[in-house]
Amino acid sequence: MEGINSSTDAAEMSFGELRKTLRKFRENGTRNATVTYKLGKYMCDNYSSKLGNEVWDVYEQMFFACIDLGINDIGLSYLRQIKEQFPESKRVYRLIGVLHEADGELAEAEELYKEMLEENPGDAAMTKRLISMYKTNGKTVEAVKLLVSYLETYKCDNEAWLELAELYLSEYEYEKAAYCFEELILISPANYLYHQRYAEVRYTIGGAENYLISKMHFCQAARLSGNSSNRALLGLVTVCETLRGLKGVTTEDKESCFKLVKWAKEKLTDKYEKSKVEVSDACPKKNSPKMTDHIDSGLETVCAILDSVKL
Amino acid sequence: MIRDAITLDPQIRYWVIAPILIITFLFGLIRHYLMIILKNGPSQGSLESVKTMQTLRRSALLRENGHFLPANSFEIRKRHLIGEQGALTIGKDTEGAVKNPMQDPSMMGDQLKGQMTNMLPMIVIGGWVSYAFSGFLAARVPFPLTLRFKQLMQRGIELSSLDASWISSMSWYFIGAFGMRGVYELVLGEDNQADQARAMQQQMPGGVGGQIQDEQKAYKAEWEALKITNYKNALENVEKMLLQT
Repeated sequence: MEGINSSTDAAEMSFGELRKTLRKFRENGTRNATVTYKLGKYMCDNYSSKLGNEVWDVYEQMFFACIDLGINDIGLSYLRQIKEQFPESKRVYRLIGVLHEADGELAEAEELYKEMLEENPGDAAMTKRLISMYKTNGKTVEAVKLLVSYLETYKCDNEAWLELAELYLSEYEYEKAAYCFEELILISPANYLYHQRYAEVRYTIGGAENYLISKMHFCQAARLSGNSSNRALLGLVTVCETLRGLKGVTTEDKESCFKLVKWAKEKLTDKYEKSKVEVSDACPKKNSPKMTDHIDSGLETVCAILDSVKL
Repeated sequence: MIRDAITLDPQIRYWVIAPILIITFLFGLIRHYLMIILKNGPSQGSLESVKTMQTLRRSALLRENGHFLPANSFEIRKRHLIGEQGALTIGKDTEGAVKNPMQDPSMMGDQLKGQMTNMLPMIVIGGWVSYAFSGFLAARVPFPLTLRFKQLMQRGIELSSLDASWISSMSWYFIGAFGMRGVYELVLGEDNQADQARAMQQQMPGGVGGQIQDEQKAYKAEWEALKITNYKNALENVEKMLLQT
């Protein structure tokens, strides 16, 4: 973020700059705790009256920064001030829940969230909080259950679909994960990452039909990424190879697979050769052993995979 | 020239222009604080209406992007939405209460409050200005204006021979009321409730969005649209296209 790092001195920044930076952090959801804490603290100490109503947002931001840094008692002092100003706000209750979580009082946090959800079942942020809490505690079943009921209402929330897909993947429920990725593709079909992961899931499930679908989506992922996704290219090689060795696949399909493998292999080898040259050029010492070794080993791995593919 | 033939009494400056400006400004301030006091928290739509919106949106997404999915997945979703027990079918066939904003008490309250704080001061001060100062010329803009501006600048004065750059007291009030945004922004900070021009914008229809008036109709339209959507695999030729790159 424009040269703002932990060594930036808050005292050197003007009020306007500070406010702009903190606002940017809030809007982008940047949780750079060290910097936020430093800047926010300076802000609260020197300009808290100048901020007007924005001071509460900064306090909330500071609260999260404190939680991230593990200084919960300082976080609590900010929370107290917010709570005094907005005693009935649900957003404040969520913060209290977060503090409980940070203190390791998970039962209290869970109870609080559940109570709030009973009062207002449509509260998306609160539901997500509870889901993520279940997830961190390894209560996958509860998390999935809640997430599914959440998605019943908020059907177009891609974040939630992605989360559900990850949860299913962690439980080896590939069919269900595939459904989630299909949902994600529906929501944003131009995102190649969704196609890529969907293809991987289909490939993992296996079977000729799934391999064919997987191949299509790897192709789409490669195309949408402008051939920049090595993962998609490598996936393409793998799936096509599997298809070629499979019974019950038409010769036509096998032929097109052959073409695709050749094409993808070319692209990949080309890329690795190029990156090798680029890195050795970029290194000040021509034969800097570390970087080139790294690339070499990467290239070797890929070559090994590609060589195992018989053309 | 006739422009120079009229001389305004300097007292008009102290007893007409200044009071109108000050009073409009103060009313703006009162409005701002009144709105803050009266305003309910941001009302979240009911869970049911969120559900409806999202179902309709999902169906629209399926229509638009469904051809990226395998045929089977598309059909499953289609059946899920417009099958016998599908969400859209049920929505289409249930006689939903037609939502009339006038029947929703909380909504009406909000609207009434907005109207009240918007319109009441306008009527009151507008009435006061036209009662106390009708027929006054209050100021003159220092540049000539075309005749078209007469309606705008000389409300309350019907003199065809008068130059258009003279401003009547009534028009001065309107200019003051709508032109104070900058001043309010300075005094109250951005995003304040005092600005008349913004209040007017809010009253324009169509800006609301997110609320469906007749759910059944919306369900029916979506059901029909999805019904006639046929699956066609968009990725059929992706390999060929890829190989060409």
